[in-house]
Parts: sequence; C-alpha cells; structure tokens
Amino acid sequence: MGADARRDSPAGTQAARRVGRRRLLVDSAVLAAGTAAWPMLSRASAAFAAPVAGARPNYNAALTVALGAPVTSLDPAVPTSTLAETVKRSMYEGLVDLDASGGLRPGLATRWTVSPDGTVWTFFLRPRVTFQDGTRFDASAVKASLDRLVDPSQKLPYHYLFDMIDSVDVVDSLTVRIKTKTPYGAMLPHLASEAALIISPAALRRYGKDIATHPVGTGAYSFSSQIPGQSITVKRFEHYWAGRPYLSSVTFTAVSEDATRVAQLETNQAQVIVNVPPSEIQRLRGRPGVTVAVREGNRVAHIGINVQKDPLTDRRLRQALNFAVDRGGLVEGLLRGLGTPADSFVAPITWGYAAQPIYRYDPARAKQLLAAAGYPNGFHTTIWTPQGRYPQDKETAVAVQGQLAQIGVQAQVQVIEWARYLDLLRKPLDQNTVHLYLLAWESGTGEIGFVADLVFRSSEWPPKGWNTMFYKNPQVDALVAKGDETVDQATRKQVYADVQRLVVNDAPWLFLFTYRQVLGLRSNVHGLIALPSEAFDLRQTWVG
Amino acid sequence: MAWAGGIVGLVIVVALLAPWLAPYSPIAQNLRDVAQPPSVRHPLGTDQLGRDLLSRVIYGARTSLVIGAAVLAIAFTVGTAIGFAAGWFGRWVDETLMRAVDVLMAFPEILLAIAVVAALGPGLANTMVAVGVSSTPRFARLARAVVLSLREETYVEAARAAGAGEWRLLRHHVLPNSVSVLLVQATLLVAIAIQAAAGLGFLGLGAQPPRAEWGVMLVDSRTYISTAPWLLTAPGLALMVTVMAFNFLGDGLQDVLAVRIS
Amino acid sequence: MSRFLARRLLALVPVLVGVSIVVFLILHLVPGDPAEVIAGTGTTGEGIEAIRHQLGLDRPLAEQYFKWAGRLLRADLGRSLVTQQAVLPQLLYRFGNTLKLAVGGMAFALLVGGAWGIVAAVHRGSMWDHIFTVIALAGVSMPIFWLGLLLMLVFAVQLQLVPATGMGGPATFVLPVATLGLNATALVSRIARSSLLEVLQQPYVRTAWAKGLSQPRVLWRHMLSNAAIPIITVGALQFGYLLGGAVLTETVFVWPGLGRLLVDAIMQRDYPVVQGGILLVALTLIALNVATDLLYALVDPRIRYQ
Repeated sequence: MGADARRDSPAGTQAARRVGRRRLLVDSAVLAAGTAAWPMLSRASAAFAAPVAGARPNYNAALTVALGAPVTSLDPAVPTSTLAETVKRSMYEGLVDLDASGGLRPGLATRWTVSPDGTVWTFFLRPRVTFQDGTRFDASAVKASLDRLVDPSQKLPYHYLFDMIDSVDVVDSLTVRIKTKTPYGAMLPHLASEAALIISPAALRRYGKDIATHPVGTGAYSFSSQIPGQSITVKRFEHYWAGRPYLSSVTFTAVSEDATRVAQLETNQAQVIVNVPPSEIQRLRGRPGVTVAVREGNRVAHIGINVQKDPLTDRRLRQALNFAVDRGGLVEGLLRGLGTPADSFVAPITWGYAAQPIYRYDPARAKQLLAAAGYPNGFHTTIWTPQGRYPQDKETAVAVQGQLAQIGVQAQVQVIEWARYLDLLRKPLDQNTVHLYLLAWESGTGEIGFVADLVFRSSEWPPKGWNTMFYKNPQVDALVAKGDETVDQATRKQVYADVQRLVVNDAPWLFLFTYRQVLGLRSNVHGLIALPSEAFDLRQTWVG
Repeated sequence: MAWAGGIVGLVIVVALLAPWLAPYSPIAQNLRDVAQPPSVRHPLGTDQLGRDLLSRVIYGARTSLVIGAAVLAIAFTVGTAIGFAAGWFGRWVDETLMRAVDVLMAFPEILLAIAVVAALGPGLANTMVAVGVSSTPRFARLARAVVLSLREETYVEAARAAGAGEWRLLRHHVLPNSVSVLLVQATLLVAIAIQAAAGLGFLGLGAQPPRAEWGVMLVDSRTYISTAPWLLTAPGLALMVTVMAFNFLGDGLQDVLAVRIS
Repeated sequence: MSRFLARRLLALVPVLVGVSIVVFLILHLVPGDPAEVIAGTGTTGEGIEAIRHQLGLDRPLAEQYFKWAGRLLRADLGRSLVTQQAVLPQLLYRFGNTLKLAVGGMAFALLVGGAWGIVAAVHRGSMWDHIFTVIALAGVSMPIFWLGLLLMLVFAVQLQLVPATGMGGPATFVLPVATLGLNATALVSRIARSSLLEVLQQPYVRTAWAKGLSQPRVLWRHMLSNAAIPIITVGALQFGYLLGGAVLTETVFVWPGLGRLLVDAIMQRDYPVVQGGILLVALTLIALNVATDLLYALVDPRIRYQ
C-alpha cells in the first residue's frame, strides 16, 4: 500500500542502492558469529499478542487474513505492495532475515563474511533445508535465484537492485560467494528484501515466467490455491526446516472496504485484519474476543510541494503553509490520536531521525510570511490526493485545505485514482502540472538514508526518481552523498541531522504526521510478528 | 402524488435557500469536535471533520439537484435529438444512429459511467457527463419509439397529406404529443441520476471534496456505521426521500397524463 | 423466424466490433499506466520501462489492438497485465459468481415481488395496498450500498445470523441476494399488481365476481398471460441492471464477481481484463435482447417478425 512501504525500501538508483547500510550492517561480523540457529519460539516482545498462560497451539487451526488490497504477483522479483510481501514471506525466505525491530538476522544463511575491500561476500547456508517441492536447498539454488535477478535479459523489475553483482559462485554445496563490481554497503538489506527471496530452481525451470502463479520456496507455508484478485491460500509445509508450522493453512483475502474488514473480524470470518479505521478502535476494544494492536509506524504523511511552480518557488510561502497547519488537530481529529505530528521527513522510529520542531501551529506567523512574500491575501492552488491508499488520505487533504483557507490560501482538492496519480506525479518538469499533493513515504530499510537518497536529491527528479517536489539544494545533495559514503555511524547521524535541518527549513513538504499501524486480531491469535514495514511474519503464528 | 410534488418542491426550495437555511458553512471544520452525536448546537451532529451535518445535508440538496438537472439536460437533449432523428427519418439515419446506441446500450450503465469518469477524471462535472452519457441511449430509444408510434397516427398522416413539411410535422405534431411521455421519463431520470451519482461516489469517482453531496457523504462515513450511525442516516434518508419523491412524481404524472410506455 | 434471427445476429457484428473498439480506445487514451500500478512507488523510471516492455505496452496502439483482436478471434483473451493470469478462465469464474447473485436476486424478486403484488392487488385501495406501494417505491429509491451496509450491520454484526461477507455456503448468499434483488422486487411487485388489476377488470371476471364465484385457476392463467410480456421485458432490462448493480453489491459484500473485477481492472488500467470483461457483458446483454424478442413471439402469437 501507499508509497508502497517495503517496495520503497530497496529503491532506486546507484546511489540509492548504497543507502541501506544500517547500524547492524557494520557489525555484521559480530552478528554472524554465534548465530547458528535462531530459536523458533522466541516470540515474546516483538509479537503483537503475547502468549497467554495455558493457551496451547491448535494444530488444526486455519487462519484468514483480510488485507486491504488484492495481491497482484507472487513473483519475488516483481514489486507489489507491502501486503503482498506478507504473502510472499509466508512461502519464501531469503538468505538474510528481518526481525521485528527491522534488524537483520540469519535466514537461509546461518552466517556471512565480507572481504576487507567490501567486494566479496561469502554466505554459509543452512543445512538440511528443502523446498516445498522436495528440491534440496543448496548453493546452486541460491545461484539460480540470484542469477535470474542479475541477468538483465530477464528484464525483471527488481533487476536494478542487483546489477552491482558481478557474479554469484558456488564454492561448495553450502557456500555461496557473491562478487560485486564495486564495494557495496547495502548488500545485506537488499538480500533481506522481498526481491531476493529464494525460489526453488526446479520450479523456476519448470514454470519459467509463470513462477508468479506457481510459487515454491522454503517457507513455513506452501502455495495451495488462488482466486486472482480475491484470495490466496497457503497450507502448512510439513517439512519446514524450523519445525512443523502451527497453522494448517492461511488464507489471504482482499477486502478493500474498511467496514467489511471490521465486520469480518467481528464475525470471526477473518482472524487478522489490517488497517482498522480509527473510528472503530474504541468500539472493537470493547468487543469480547477481539484485540486491537497498535504500533508505531515508519510512514510520514505529507503534502509535497512542487517548488518549481509559481508562487511556491518562494520558500516563505512554503513555510507559511507549514505554520498554517495544526498537526496536533489532524492527529486528534482524523487519526483519533493514532499518529504523531511530524517534525522531520522520517518517523521517530527511523534510524537517523532528528527532530526539527520549528513549525508550531501559528496562523499569525503564517500570515506574516504570506505578506512578506507579497501575498497578503493568500493565493489559489490545488491539492491532489489519492483515495483509500493511506488511512484517512482524502480526509487529510480536505482538513489541510480547510486550514489553509484560514490564512487565505484557497486550495482545491482533487481526488485522483492511483494509476493516474503516480503517472501525473512522475511527469517530467516541463509536463508536470502538480502543485500540492499528498503522499506518505516510508523508509523501507528502516533508516533515513533511503528516503534522503530517493526523494530529496536533485538527481532524482522525475521521471527518473521520486523527487516529485523538484527540490534542489546543492548542500543537501552534497550531504546526502557524504552520508552514503560515511561508515562511522555517529558521524553519519550528524550528517543526516544536517540534511533534516536544511530540508525542513526549505520546506519542500508540508509536514503532517506519522501513522501508527493498527491491526485487528481475534484474541486467540498469537505470535504474529509485525515488521517495521506494514508486512508481517506468520511463520511463528498460532491459534490457541 | 401531491405530497411527492410537495417534497420535490421542498427540496428545490431548500436547495435555493441553502445559504440562509444552513446554520453553519457546510465546509467549516472543527477537528476538535468530530463525529459528535446530535445536540442543540448541531441538530444532526457533526461529521468526521467536525462539520455541521445539518448544513451539509442542506447544501447536499443543492448538489443533488444540480446533478439531476445537468444529467437531464444532457440525456434529454442529446437522447431526444438522436431518437427523433432516427425515428423520423428512418432508413440509414435510423440504422446508423441505432447501431451507435446499441453499442452504448451494450454496456451496463454504471460500467459505462465508470469508464467515462476514468477517462475524464473524477469530479462533479465529469460525474454529470458520465451519468448523462450513460442515460442518453435510454432516452434515444424512448424518443424513437414515441416518434415511430406518432408518425402512424391519423392526424400526422392527415397533416402530411395536407402538405405539411417534415420540420413542421415534427415541431407541431410530434414534439407536443410526445411531451407527456418524455416528461414522465425525465422525472424518473432525475431520480436515477441522483442515485447513479451517489453510486459513483461510493466507488470513489463522484463529487470532489469538500463539496457536500449526499452520496459522497454516505460513502465517506461508512466506516462510522456502527459508531456514529447518524452520519449515515441523515444523508441516506435525504437521498432516499428525494429519489423517492421524484419516482412518485413520475409515477403520478404517468397516471395523470395516462401515458403508456411500451 | 429464422430469417429474423439471422438478421439480428448479423446486425450484431458491427455492434461487437464497435464495442471492442470503444472499449479499447477509452482505456488506452485515458491517462494512467498499468506499469505504474504494478510497480507502485517501488521502482524508478528504468524499472517501469522494463515492465512496460515486458507487457508490450511500448508498441504502437494499432498494433496492440490488432494483436488483441486477432487473438480474440481464436477465443484467446490474453493475460491480465497485473496478475499475469489467463483472462478467460478468470472472467468466466467471476461471471459465474455474478450470475449466481443475479439469478438469485431475480428469483427473490419474482417470488417475493410476485406474492407482494398479488396481495396488494387483491386488497386494492386498502391501507395495505398503500403501504406496499410506498415500500415498493422506497425499495426502488434505496441506494443499494446503503441498504447493503445496513443489512450487514443488523443481520451479520448485531444479530450474527449470517456471515457479513464472502462467498461460501448458502448463508453467504442471503444478504447480497436480498440487497441486489430489492429493486427488482419492488418493480415486479408493481407489475404483478397492475397486471392482476387489469385481469380483475375483465368483464368475465367481474361477472364471475358478481356471481359470487372465484375461479383461481382462470384468474391465475389470465394474470400470467397478461403479465408475461411486461415481466419478460422487465426481466431482461432488470437483468442488465442487476449486472450493473452487482458492482456495488459485490464491493460491499466482497463478492468475487465480475462487476468488482471490472471496476478494479479499470482503475488499474488492466486492459485485457477490462476489454474481455466488457465484451462478455455486452455479449450477454445482446443475447438477452435477442432472446427477449424471441420470447415475445412465443408468448404472444400476435407478434410476428417479418
């Protein structure tokens, strides 16, 4: 969904690729030591619902998960939505795994090393793992999956994440060596992304391009059936390497109506639903058998400002817009408190975040700035918004419009469907007609560099990248480049603090808020691990 | 029928006098006062942005009537013109026009409307065009049928025998005599148009915010169905009663004018 | 009759070609790009180009149309751009589900509406007749999605009598069928009422009444023959309408039907699905019209076709 969460993560261009290095990465040697097998049953803190004393897993239980949008492709190499990632990760696994806090941990590789010059990675694979079709998981399987991504002639959408790879070599049956053309810091986050989930080589040979509808991985559940656009069912993989999974099957359904999803949870037609509307939380909490789980999110809602469009070229006007919006009111009124007013372009839980609380709600100040810029009576503009893409998206645009009207800025709200929305936002400058637009970026890698690279560098103007504000500040460009190359984490954090200071002051966004994620669960569902993106990990989930 | 006419009249009056009748601006927000139940200050409560619901329902009458009128204008003019031309001139005119109408009739109206909105982009004006376009074939067919039956009538035959020109026949004989049939259909069409526009709103393709439109109001508050049902009942009832009044009126007219549509 | 049929069928050809061109053009000239939808915000310009190329969307429009039309002649509707599934089986599955709803709604309408109309006619002018008339008009005037949500709230969430959504056992059919069938029910009730009233006006019936006799069988037969033409007409018209109304009903009840599929496909610019789906619907409606004309002739010997 949205500026599609994890899809955003391994985004972009050469430099964007270098972004992902999170603090753990630097310590990968440490991490790699002594992590033979992670315990299956450590489902405590990270899990949404804590285990209940006396509850026992019911091995006959099936689970229905109501997602907000249909899952379009099950091919790991094709970007889809965060929600589709949940489905893919129930069937597939990668060399590197993600934990609930967004950290990296061993997955199908038990440990790894990197050469001093940073161009040779060696992965030691987990023994005694089989794919759901009986194929043995080994080095050649890893090579087949990665070669497919690396090969440009396959024309896979996720190819760009791996074109830095020079070769993938089988050292022995349980050792793989990956050579890169240049030192490459973000190797591990890329391998942890959904793009690098490992596919059965036999299935790849057999189905070729049709692998999207015949997924075969090593994960806890194997593909069972699909009604396109409607539902996907996966069933327990009895020979899963980490032990017999608890659930007999999981069905993912696409239920776009909020009210319908809630009704399904209440009638136990679905045991897990995503995006509970804020207005329903209070009531649902009072229902027996239903749990509402809330967690901080990574996604920052904002109104992007096309800074090349008159009169928005004037920084004072953009600052005026920022002073005119009552973020606390938006969070309280629209999100029922399920959010945090934004004071940077990343969320507080994102690594590298540094608060820049300079825009307190101050309509008088906003009017002064308008007057100083020569628009004492405001001006006319438009706000574009998608509908149903983010929680309360259209309502947010309307609320902002109402608040801008208070300082004399007359904005017209235009709802545009997603297919056209992205198309219009990504037009090159000379054809671009956007003024203000609502979007919500999430740092898919869990750290600030991702968004800084993809959205704020001047080299990322559409149609190439996602700098849909057409923002350009040479200082920001230089600092972001420096952040990419800096290895010392403390220094790096300082660099990004400077980036945030500059960007917030330049105000290419009207900063709004970060969303909290709200899942609805039946109370007897345990061990569901939510990843920092909106995807979740069902491998340890059980029903009591 | 009298009361149906009364309600239609009332809706029209409310729509015209909206600025004087509404206690608040329909777009004035108060984010600290959202989804409140009915009270003295807000007789129908407030909506999800803290706007006064009564004011929005009142202004919604305006929007719905504008939609109904615009759709009527489009479908009536274009449809009648096509139908009259096809029915009157017959032969290849009829053949060509009716094949074109067949092409449009081959789509369910709502899908046709959705396709048109997808092409033009959502919005009130485009909604009107979409519903108008999708209702046109129905009118064209009806008008053609009316003309076909009228041209066989003896007084038309007589006028023709007396040497009346084609246009004169159309203007003085066919048009006046088809008014009652078309009037009934027009009344019913307003009801259909208001409902269809609301349906487009439900699919996210209707009037643009912050304009008050009953269908969109219903749609926007559907997640409040169990926590703040008044958000749905007020615009829902207004929509239903208005549509019903137009339906009743059309029905009544049909009886009064003794129209038989076959 | 067979000449009439042949002529009707021949006249279909230009209509179908027209429909296919209209559908194709509307979609392809609309701004918006399926490649963008597939990629979301996850990839850059080159990634989107790669997807576009993979899907053949970088070819000239005419070439795309003729390629599609050529395959169409071999009953191959291609593959969905978004899901990569073959279009035809997907459409037929969804269409089947919509038909279940539509047929269910129609049956509901005939049974409930028929009975309702008879009761109203028999008690003509009574309070019940008035109440029924008002309810029937209210039924026609009810926004279908509002009705659906209200029914869901009452019967699924509050009373927990039936499942809220989804398609499964017979219980899952109750709410969507009732929602979809309501408008048709109201209409049928009005036709049944007026047809019966007309029969009751007949001299021989009045004579029978005057003699204190009631002949249910005669009454029934006359009413049926009287009502047959309007009911067939309304049935055919309503069926098309039901297919359209199914879009909203399917959205509310998450019914895996054709209507919802088409709306989503239009929004996602999934060209092959929309093109195939609309053709399918168009074909059905056209077939229905032809069948209706033939039925007229069968039911009413006065109608002849030259």
